[in-house]
Amino acid sequence: MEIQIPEVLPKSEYLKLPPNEREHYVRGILRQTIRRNVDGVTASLLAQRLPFDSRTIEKHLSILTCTNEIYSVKIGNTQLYLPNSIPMHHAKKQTFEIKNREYIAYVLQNRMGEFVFIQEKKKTEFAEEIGGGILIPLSDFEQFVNFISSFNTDIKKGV
Amino acid sequence: MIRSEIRLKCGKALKDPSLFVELKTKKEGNLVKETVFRYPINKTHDGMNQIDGFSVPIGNYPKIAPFLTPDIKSAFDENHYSVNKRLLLIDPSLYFLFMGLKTDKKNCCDLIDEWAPKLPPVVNYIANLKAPREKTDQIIKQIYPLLDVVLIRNLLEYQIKKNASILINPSVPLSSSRMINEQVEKMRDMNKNGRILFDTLLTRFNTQRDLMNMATLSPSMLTSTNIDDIMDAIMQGTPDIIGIRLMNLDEEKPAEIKSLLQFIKNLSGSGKPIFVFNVREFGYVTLCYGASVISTPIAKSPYTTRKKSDAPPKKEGSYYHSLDMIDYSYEKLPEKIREKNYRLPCHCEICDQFDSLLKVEKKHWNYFRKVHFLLLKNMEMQELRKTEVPLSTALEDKFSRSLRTGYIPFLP
Repeated sequence: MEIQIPEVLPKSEYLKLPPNEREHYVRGILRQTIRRNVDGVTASLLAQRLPFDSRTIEKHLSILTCTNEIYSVKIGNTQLYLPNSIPMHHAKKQTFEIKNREYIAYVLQNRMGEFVFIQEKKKTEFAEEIGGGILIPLSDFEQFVNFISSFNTDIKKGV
Repeated sequence: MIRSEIRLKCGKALKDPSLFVELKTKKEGNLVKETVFRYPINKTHDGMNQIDGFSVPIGNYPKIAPFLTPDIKSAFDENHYSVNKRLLLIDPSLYFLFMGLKTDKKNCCDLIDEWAPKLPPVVNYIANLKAPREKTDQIIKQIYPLLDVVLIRNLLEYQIKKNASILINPSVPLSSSRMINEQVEKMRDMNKNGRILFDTLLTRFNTQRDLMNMATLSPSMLTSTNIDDIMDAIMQGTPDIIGIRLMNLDEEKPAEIKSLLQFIKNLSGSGKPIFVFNVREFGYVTLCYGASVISTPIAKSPYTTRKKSDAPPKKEGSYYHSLDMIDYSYEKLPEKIREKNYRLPCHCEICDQFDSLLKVEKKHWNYFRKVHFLLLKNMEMQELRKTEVPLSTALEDKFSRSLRTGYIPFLP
């Protein structure tokens, strides 16, 4: 299976980066790679094509999965990783800022259906880090809004 | 004529063609700020309104930064085109580490010492070597390995922190035909790595700033065997903008000029805006080959030539003649205008104020001629932007009335 990979730093160079930046770098490359391969990639294929060891790749794949930037589907014995961050309607993308955090909401479609994706981006001095993200099925979104609204009413009442 | 408008990711727009000014010293920073503030005095003039940006070498930036702030006029007039409203480029081309004056080297080393502490001692060691051949070899052997991703990332971050309008990818100059392969290879690696770092570690800004790949080169490097490699190295990492910083352009060598212009034309085929740095009147020719922006040093030659005598440099610099389009030295200018009762041969605002050369005191000469240069360059750019004929026709007309007729054969 052929996959598209972005340009990467030679291993000798990326190892010179401080540890926290190295982490960001590896995650950034994995994110870009998965976005370029909308039909999905496997961890072993990534390990073959990228200059990172398989443990590092698996660690970052699980982080990207936890933040819902990617999702995985199991087809037979193969675990495929797919990008989650392709909005269906760019015009419907909305952002809301609280201090150094940005909340982005948009509708996306993946193999599981249509979802409202709410993603948190933390802004550091130079980078944007994905803090997390939740996926709510589009068909249940109104119910979710009602739930949040009722929770807000309770907070106001001091419950 | 204004050919198009380049929309930049920083939110500003740039007219094509545009003129930038290179600021290298505190004095130049102050001069530009004062000129922008003071001119036009009379509204029939345009001051420096056609000069849309400044380029500052990264090592000199801390000294020049205090002059790139809003002036008092901008508090009262929101339309005032103050220095801070124009584009700012902080040039991290590392050519200062390899060549140029000791003070430039020191400024550059002082800045990068924190990010690459091993670099300054090596630069100093190599600067003291006498044989140019050995210097080049040692630069490649000792300095190149130190120009790593950590330094590149810091140089990009520095430009972001200082609010540069376009980020310039740090790179090495192409100066030696003997070692051109090594130099091109290093440039290719740095361009590629800079883009990767920009897209993975500086993600907050990769949609807010354009990234420029800059080739600092001597036109003699653009031989038929090298040109494709150099082009490939510049395009590494798909830059948003391409920059060319010219070193040692020899106007007596038409073959080199032709290959340089062809090179610019080929690059412009990529559809990316091209900025040409360190050019004077020759820069106008490059505008006809696809360059969108030219950047000029203030009232001096862009290229350093070896001194033929030990005599100290003259304190009084040259005056740029508006019609002849060449510089006349302090001693030559009076001879040139004696017949016209020493009337200054220019209608820029400062020349109109002084009217006669006899009224310009020697102690004010350098200040006067530099302000004149800025105002005259502004008028030239205004003329090129207003013309209704194609740029090459307008330039042919302008050069034919000047002593720059040598440029005419190069116009397309």
